[in-house]
Amino acid sequence: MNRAVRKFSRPVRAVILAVLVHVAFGLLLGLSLSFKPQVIKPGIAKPVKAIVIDRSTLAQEETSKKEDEKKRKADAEKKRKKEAKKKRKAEAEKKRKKEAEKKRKKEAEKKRKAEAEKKRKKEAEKKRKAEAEKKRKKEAEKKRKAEAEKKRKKEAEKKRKAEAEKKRKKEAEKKRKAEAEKKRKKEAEKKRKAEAEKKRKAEVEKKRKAKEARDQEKQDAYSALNSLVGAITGKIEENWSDDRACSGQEVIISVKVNISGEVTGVKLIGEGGDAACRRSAENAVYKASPLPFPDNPRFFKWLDQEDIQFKFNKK
Amino acid sequence: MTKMFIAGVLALVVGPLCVSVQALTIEITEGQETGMPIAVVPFQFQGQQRPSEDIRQIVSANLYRSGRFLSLAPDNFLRHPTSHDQVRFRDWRLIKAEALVIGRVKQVNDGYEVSFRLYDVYKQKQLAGYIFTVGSGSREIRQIAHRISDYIYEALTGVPGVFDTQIAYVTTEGSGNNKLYQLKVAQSDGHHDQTVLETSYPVLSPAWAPDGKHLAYVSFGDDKRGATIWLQNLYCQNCKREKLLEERVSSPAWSPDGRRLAVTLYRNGNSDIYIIEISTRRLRRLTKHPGIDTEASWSPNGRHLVFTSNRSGRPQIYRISAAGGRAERLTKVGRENLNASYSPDGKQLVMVTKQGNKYQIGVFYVDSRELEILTDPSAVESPTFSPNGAMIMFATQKGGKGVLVAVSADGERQNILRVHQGEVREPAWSSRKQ
Repeated sequence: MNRAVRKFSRPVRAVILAVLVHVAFGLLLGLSLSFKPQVIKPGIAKPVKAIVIDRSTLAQEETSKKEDEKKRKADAEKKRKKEAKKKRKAEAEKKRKKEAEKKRKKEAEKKRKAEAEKKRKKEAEKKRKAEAEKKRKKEAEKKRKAEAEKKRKKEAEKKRKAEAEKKRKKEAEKKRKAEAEKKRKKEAEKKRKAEAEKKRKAEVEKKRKAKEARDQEKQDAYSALNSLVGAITGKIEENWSDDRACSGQEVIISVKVNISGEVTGVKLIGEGGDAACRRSAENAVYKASPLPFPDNPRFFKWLDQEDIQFKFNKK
Repeated sequence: MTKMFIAGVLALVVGPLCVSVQALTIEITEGQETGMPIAVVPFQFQGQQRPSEDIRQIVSANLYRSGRFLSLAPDNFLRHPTSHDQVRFRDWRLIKAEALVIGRVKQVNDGYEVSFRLYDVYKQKQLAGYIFTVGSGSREIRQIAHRISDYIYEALTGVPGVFDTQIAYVTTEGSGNNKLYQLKVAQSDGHHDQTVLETSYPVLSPAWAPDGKHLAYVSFGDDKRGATIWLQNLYCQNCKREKLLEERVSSPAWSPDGRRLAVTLYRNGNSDIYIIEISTRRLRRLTKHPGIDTEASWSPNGRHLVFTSNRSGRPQIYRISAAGGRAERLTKVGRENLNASYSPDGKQLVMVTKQGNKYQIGVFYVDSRELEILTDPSAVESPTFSPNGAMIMFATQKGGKGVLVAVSADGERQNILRVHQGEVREPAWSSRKQ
């Protein structure tokens, strides 16, 4: 509180000084100018340091002093006029006055107290206000700071969000790109696989067709040979000069022929037949050479794979 | 003749993607019975005096007669090789000869050196080759030719040849009191006959013992008391014939072991089959039927005998266990069946069968009981299998002459072996080589 008083006392002194300077210069100027003198209230001799005043307080005080003066003058008149009465009633009056004075003092005290109270209140108010202001300012500052913080945070948040967004976008982009790449690769793979599959299927189909053609050719070859079975049989039988050699026996002979039907190899299969039977059967085959045989070279490669088997069997 | 028999020919399984083609198998069930074409090249002769017999011709005829060979005519031969070096198989394949025989006859001191080689034309290899030294006599030369024939026959058929064997038969000449009976033995082709017995009394039923040395036959003793079974060893110069049994007896048949004879005895007005033990002369009666039972023949395993009996009214063939017992009638087809004898494998019987009014040669299959007529109708008698079963010999009459005929077992080839002014009867084929 004292510090505050000190703090405020300096400007007050300055004001007073300023006024005095003004007055001084005004006096100096007034010497030369038509100047309407201003009433300067006297009496402010009291050290101001004890009391904090402001302009309104001064004015009030001035007003109050004026009225006190006025009243004093009236009272004095009244006192002079009523001296006689006063003298008569001096005592009473004196008492009454004493009473009155006492009352007035009481009143003044009361008033002073009220004033003090008022002043105190005012001070308190001022202090409160200052406090409030301070608080407000503090609040404001706090608020500002909070705002700033909030703003900063908001900014930061915003920035973070932006960053995050950016990052997210980047990630998303990256992901998208990765996805796209993946998809592209997948597509490419799929396409590659499809191509491969297509190629494979084509190969398979080609092979199948080739096989089919081969099978057909093989079948044709065997059909061609089959159609000659009667002729082959006939020729063998014609040349089997002594079937009694195989009476009650069975001998199997595997025969290889060339494309002209010429017998190029004769092989006994199994253990059937005695020597004479085997010889007679083998000779029948040799003598029947060339056998009726399909002369188509395309057929031969199939027919060449398997020997023709002859089962000689005389009941 | 050529029948086409195609069985299990070709299996074609056709699927959409799979073609399975099985190897071709052709079944040949019947060929020709012309016999294996064989080229017997004329034998080369080295020396001054040619032998009296043509070996090539004898061999060729033998092989042909057997029915298993077709002897090719030398006119068709591209070459006449006489040594191994000269043989070119291609030449013989061209004329479809399956076998080739070449040979040489070389004059040596007292006779000849005869050699031959047999080739399989398609296998291009020699199957047999032998060299013989013989005297200069016709009979010896012929015998060598028969022996060569046997080698060839066996090498190519797997069955022993029977060309170098003997036959026995009875001839009759003259008539009334001037009748002359001769028991003869000849080479299997009827050549070089020798008279074993010559008599004015009937000679019947010569039968070769399994040893091929002894002959049993029926004749009458000098005292004319009755029929007698004689045994004679043909290979013993100083041996006398031996009287085995002297009563009303006929049709001796050797058991396969040569120790017994089955004979027909007429006792008490009844003909039955008896078995006589040669060493003891002991008789055992086999059949006991009041009908006529005669002409017994042993199965090759000695377990059964077949005989002719009229117990059903007409002659038919019956079979009985060698131990005796009930006889079983085998022949059901034909008015009469008689004079049966077994084939060497025991599966067939050859017999005289009367179809209508003619007597023919029939081959009866023991298992299936089927009878196959072998010859054209003619008056045939006494059929007998050759010891290897490949041929059947029988006697018949042609133009008032007695004839011995050899027929291949399938009846395809008939060859007259012997023609005699009188009768030729009851041929018997020896199992033994000369």
